[in-house]
Amino acid sequence: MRRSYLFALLSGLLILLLLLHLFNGSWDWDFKTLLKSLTDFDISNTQEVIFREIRFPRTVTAILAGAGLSIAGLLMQTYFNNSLAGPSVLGISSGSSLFVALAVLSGWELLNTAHSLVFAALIGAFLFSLLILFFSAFVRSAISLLLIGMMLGSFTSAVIQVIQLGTHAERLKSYLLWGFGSLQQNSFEQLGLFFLVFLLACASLIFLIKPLNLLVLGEKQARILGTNIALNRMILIAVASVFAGLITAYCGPISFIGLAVPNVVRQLYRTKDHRYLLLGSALFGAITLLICDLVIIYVEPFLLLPLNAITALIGAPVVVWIILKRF
Amino acid sequence: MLLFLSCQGNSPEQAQKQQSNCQYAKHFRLTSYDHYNKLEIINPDDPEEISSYLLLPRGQKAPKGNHLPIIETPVNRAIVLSATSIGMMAKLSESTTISGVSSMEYVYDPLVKEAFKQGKIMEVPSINQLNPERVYRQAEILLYNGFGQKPAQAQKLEQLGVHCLPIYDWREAHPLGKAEWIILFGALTDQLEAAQNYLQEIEEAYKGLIIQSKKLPKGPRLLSGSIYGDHWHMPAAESFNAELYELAGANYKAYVKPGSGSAAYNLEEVLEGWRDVPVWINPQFKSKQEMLQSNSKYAYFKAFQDGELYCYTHDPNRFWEYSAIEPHHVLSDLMQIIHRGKIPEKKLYFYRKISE
Amino acid sequence: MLHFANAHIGHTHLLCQIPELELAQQGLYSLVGANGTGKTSLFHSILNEVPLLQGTVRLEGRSIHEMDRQERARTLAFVPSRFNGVQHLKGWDYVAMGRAPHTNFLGQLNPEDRQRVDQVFDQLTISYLKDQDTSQMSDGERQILSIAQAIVQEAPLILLDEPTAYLDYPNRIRVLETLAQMAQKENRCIIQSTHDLELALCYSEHFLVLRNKQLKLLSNQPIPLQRETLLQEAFGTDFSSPKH
Repeated sequence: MRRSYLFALLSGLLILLLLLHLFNGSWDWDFKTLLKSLTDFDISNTQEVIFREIRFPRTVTAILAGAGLSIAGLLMQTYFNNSLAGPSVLGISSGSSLFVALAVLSGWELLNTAHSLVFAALIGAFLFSLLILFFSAFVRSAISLLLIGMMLGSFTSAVIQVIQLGTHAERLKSYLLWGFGSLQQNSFEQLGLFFLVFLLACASLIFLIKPLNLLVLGEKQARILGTNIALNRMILIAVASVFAGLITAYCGPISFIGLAVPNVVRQLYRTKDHRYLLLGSALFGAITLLICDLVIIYVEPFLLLPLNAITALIGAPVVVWIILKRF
Repeated sequence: MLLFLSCQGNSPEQAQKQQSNCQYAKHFRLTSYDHYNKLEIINPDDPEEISSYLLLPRGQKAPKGNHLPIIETPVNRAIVLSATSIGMMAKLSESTTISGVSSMEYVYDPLVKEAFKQGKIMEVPSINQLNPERVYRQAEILLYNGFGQKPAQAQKLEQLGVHCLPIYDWREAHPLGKAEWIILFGALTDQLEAAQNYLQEIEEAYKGLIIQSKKLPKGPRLLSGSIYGDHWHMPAAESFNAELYELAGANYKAYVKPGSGSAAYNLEEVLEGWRDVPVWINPQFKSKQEMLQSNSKYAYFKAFQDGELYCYTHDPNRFWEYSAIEPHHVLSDLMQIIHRGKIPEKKLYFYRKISE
Repeated sequence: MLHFANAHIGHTHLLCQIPELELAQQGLYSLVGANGTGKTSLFHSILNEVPLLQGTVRLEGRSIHEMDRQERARTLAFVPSRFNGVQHLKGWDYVAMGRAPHTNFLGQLNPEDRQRVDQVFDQLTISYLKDQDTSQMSDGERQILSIAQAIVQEAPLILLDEPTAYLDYPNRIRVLETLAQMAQKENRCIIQSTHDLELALCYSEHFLVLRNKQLKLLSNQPIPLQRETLLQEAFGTDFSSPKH
């Protein structure tokens, strides 16, 4: 019952925020132009161009990024049985950053197109996930693993700093900007690939529901209950790094969402059933990122806020709250 | 500052033969005495803070009672950290005096490049990471562009006798004020007269262009800049570039936010306000393809579709080195771009139409 | 039922060697032995968590190690010595996880699965735990739930790793009573490892004694084992008559 209410509430909130975001924070909703821009696009109408090329991609990106990061965070938290795990804490985002840095800063033109950036971020995310996995085979305690993740993070940022030293300032700028995080870099055409990969990753979640629910008891017990841990671990890490890598590639390394949202969702849903937790994280993640971006839209006339500043402003207190609640 | 205004001509009335050499520049003063010059550099953010130096030809004795730091002229080896300074040295045929730059990647000057190949040029990527000893061995003087603050090791360098001079030409509001900083370089290299002659030349050319521009009808609107991150930065209404666009005849100021720096817009606002503007200046890209790769939405602008995009990006280092000291060429280029077809055509000097 | 044939157990070096041993009857078996003799390793070997160094273990005639995962999970249940509870995980959901080897890839429970779970709650008279958060239960309640989970798994063989180690006395009795009852009513082979010989003597029908790399089967019925005999077998020392 509670779950149905929550689902209805979150869905309603998502739709409201989606529309508010789509209309750039205003309550004046011009559906006609919006629909026309998507179905019967008239390139000469500036208002339609704005809807199709600026607002629609931004809203869709916010929703997909928020949902994807939160799902990735939930996967990592369940797998490592640690509510402070997340794509950025475990160094998966660092992997993306490193590879994007290499691609952007090397100045290798071949690597410098939008699609290859996505590719670089995905490879980085996946390689670093494998690295974490490799360590996880030797390290039993989750705290040690988190520490290793953090070390990977500092290590990569140091490597990136070294690369930066010998880099053309123009390229450096574009890398630094990427680091701020942004939902505005996607164009209407780019959305297609983004959405497709996102959907594929979501579809593969179906195979993870049962293992995730059993992993709550720890790897050993899950294995004894018939779970193929080795296989599912691979799928889980792969899916988490596809989500994290995809979003990091398109939007830059967005912090805190993946860490904070699943924790709030667990408190809201009060269940360990991942059918609900996955759906809840997706909904609540999308809502959170829409709110963050709406804040940016609203304060823009006075202050140009980078996305990562807002997610940290909202996310950091949540993380502190989680820690306080646990002890 | 008023005291020293417009004393360009020789005026030997005063016993000391005092003479100031600046007309447009507001952030430095050079006063000539019998056998030496007094240089004062004024911090634009704090006019009370003035760095003064005595420029004394080698072998001469300092005047009695002097307490100012002395720079012996001509300076033989100088580390020059801003591009405009390299251009000014080059105009005085003093490129070989340069013994250090911030990064060779941004150098246009062929003589400096040649000297670098011979190992005579030191690269100083950041003024906060200087090795004082190396600088001391490399140069007598260090000229930096004063973004914000002094080099971290300035005090040590001064003790070693290497003077660190901030160069504020980039803070001057008048195009000729920027150019006038060549006086400082002239004084440092004992080429004051050459500097003055050159200045006179470009002042005439510049003023001639202004007269020509004023006679022309008001030109079209301009779109300037491009997206950086999530925002489009355009020169604000009172900025140097905005003034320059207006001087060249463009209808620019009336449409941008007030301010002296740059104004930030989101893409939506720019599309709404500038989509049909015929000319786009300084998008900071080399080609249209590169622009689309960076942001496909550029394609919606009329100026982009018509190919009316102008920038100096085909040879940016040349622009950064020479635009300050050749303001007449910048103005002339802008006029050519803005009044195309309405004035006799002249080959663009710095600018070029952006390629496909 | 459970059959060892020349089974060599150990991680890297041999801990225990079982030339031939058959646990033919159903019932509650207690595995005893000094620390470090390899009780846990024996369990891990049966569970295929650690491969056998040599030989085979068969369950109802089939080699455990050649079964696939799902099949093994339907044949073998394991209860760890302690379940710490998981926040937001309800008692009912925890027990229902025991049905995992019987459900499809989505883990969906059909009405029979649900009925089976409810039934176990009734059987053990712990229905009040259904909606409680497992992280807020007592150790005793959680241990009973773990046993309930193993029961709904419907495996003929259940292994329990020191199930009473963390419990107070009344709860120990409760757990052992439950186990003994299950072994009888449900016709299962239940093996618990324990150091609690006195209680084991009261409730288990058989003893498996691990000592000197040997596994020995002793029967507690129809003639009850003497405490001293068991101690002697398990620890070797003469405990027969404490002298004051």
